Amino acid sequence: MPTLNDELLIKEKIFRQYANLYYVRLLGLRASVLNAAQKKWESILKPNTADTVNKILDIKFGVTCCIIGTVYMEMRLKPNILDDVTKEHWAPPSPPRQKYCSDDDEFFLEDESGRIKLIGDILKQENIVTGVIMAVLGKESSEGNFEVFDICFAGLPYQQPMPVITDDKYIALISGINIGPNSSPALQLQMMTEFLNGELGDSFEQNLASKIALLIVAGNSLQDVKVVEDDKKEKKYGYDSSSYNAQPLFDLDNILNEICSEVLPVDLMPGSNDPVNAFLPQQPIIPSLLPKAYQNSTFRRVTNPYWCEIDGVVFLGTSGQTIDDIAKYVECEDRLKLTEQTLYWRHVAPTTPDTLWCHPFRDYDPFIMKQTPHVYFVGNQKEFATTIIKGPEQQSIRLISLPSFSETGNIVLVNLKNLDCHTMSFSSTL
Amino acid sequence: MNHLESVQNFIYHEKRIVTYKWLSLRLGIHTNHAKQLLSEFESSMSMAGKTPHAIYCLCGITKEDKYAVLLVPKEELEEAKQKYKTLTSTHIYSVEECRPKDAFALVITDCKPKKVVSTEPSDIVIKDCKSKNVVSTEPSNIVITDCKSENVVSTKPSNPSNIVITDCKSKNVVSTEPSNIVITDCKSENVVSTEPSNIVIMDCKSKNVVSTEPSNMLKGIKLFESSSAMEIDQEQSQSLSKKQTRHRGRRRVTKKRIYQDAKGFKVSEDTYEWESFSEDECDSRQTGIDVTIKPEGSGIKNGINKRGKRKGNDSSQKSLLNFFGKI
Repeated sequence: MPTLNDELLIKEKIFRQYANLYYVRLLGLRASVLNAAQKKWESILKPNTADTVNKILDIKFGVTCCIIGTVYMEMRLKPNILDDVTKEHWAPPSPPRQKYCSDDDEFFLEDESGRIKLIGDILKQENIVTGVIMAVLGKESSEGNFEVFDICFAGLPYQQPMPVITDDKYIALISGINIGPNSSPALQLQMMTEFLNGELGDSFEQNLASKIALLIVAGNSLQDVKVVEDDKKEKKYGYDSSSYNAQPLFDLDNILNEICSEVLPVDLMPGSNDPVNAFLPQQPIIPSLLPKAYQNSTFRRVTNPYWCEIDGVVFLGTSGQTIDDIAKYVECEDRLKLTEQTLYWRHVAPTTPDTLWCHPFRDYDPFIMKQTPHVYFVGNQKEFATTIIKGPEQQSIRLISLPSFSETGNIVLVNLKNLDCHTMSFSSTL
Repeated sequence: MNHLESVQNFIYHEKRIVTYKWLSLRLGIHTNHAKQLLSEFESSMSMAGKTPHAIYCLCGITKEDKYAVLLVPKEELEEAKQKYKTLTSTHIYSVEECRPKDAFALVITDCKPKKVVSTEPSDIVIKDCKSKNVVSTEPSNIVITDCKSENVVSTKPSNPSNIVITDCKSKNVVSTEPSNIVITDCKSENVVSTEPSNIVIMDCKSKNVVSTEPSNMLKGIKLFESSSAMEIDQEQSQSLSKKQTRHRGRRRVTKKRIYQDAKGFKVSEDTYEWESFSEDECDSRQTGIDVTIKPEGSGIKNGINKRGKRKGNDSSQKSLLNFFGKI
């Protein structure tokens, strides 16, 4: 999808404040949220009883109205830079928390004019995170807070009609290969490449492998490098370049080359462990790191998140950081549910730039979903899960949560004909 | 059979773990044949009494309704089969002398794929080969392009017509009786030997040794348009030298530019510019002579000044007496 991926490529390396990003996000989604709110609360939002207020500052006391703005959650447990700065120097840093949410979180709604505190039980029941553009129906209370009766999100955007494909055609999805410095690629990886090359198995497997049209690697191809403090070594100030091990990158290059040159196009997405920029959107991995694979025209380095269109079927994928971060804000542990929720929010990564690092975009927010994908996959999750979501306008989306290959040995095959999806596991008893 | 014996060799003498993939790379056979070969070997050995250890690959749908591919050693084969609801395939994965101690031992790390093309094809095109190519026996046309490693084309063909090796980044050894050889854009050693009738070597940036009886030899050192290089008629005997008489190329020269700038100052600057030039062909020889082409780099040596003590009356340095004019 050239136009959507183009927005994700960072062209300028200027760093500026993030306020613009929130502003363009609000501008981009406000119209759709307003539409959705008007449809949802048709009975209430009649011209004489309630109004859509343009600015939060214009709210009149006691009048039921609807306001649209960006959610901000005040969380006590959220890591705060001010705490880091003011704490004692010799206290050990506390380990990063799994969840930021707690019982005394406060919700605020903010737009260009001001912010207002939201109160209501419904806020805890729904999954809401900082950065979501939301419409709220309620009225101002005597303390100056806004009592919430109901909330509404932008909802699923338009979806291109699903093309008619007559033959079985598979897309293979894999994530979390995690090649590490300890050993060359494990046996599982070798079995997988042999399968994709059509070498493993009898005629059934070879037939199946021949129908695979594309392999998408959804992040974390390299293992997270942990620097081990070695007391015997002399302390070198700065970076000790002798501790760098180039073997994992070399192995990855060989494997990708083997798959690309023989058989299959590969799209490589970067993940949280890969040698690319840490903030979203992660840029394609630079070609000189994978010189052999780069020689092949079938090898494509792509961004994270990644939109692509294969034979008219629209895919959206991330390497998992977006959903992992959202999961810290809410009690819910069902990752697939959170993925579904991002579709209703119409935004891939609402927690940027608050807790998830992000590039300060000025003119547009590339994470806003302008259309609904047919397949939405999230990599590097704990286990495989999949479901189909139906939208109000006949949209139908296959959601896939990809498990890490290094832990489970599973890859996922999606059939473009009917969006069926199943795993394939590689293991050995040796 | 040859192959069975080599398998025996690999397993018992070289003490290797022979996986089907490694075998197919090593012997240059299809992976399905390699699997068949391994199972034949295994059954023949077990009949003969020696029982090599084998690892099998099971693919199918397990009882939990998941598609799984599993590698199991021979002992656990039956037990593993029970876990499957439907087995879509079972085949040998590897054969070895005794059970490998861990899974990592099965990973192939040491074999680069070697493409061996043998017997009588009429046209062979080997493109983009990243490892050793050995092309042997009687092909009529061989085109090896973009090969990044050793190429050994050796045949005793009766009448091979054309061998074209382009863009090869390493050693090329072409021997025996081809009638036309074109080696273009080769960045390393080329050894062309025996009785070729036409040889054209273009744009070779390193050592070329062409020996024995070429009838026509044309060596182009400078950059050359590749389209014309490919047109070689079979019937040509002497007329090759008439084609391609000019070598055109572009080279970078330093030019000095003097101009007056806005403030009225004269500014002189050195600029690098590309200019084209053409040269007549060099080095075309006739029949019957042993030809050895010197490496291209030899010409540079003459220009290097020998370092050492400069003697007082070096002619480039003016003597003080010259100031007074000739006496």
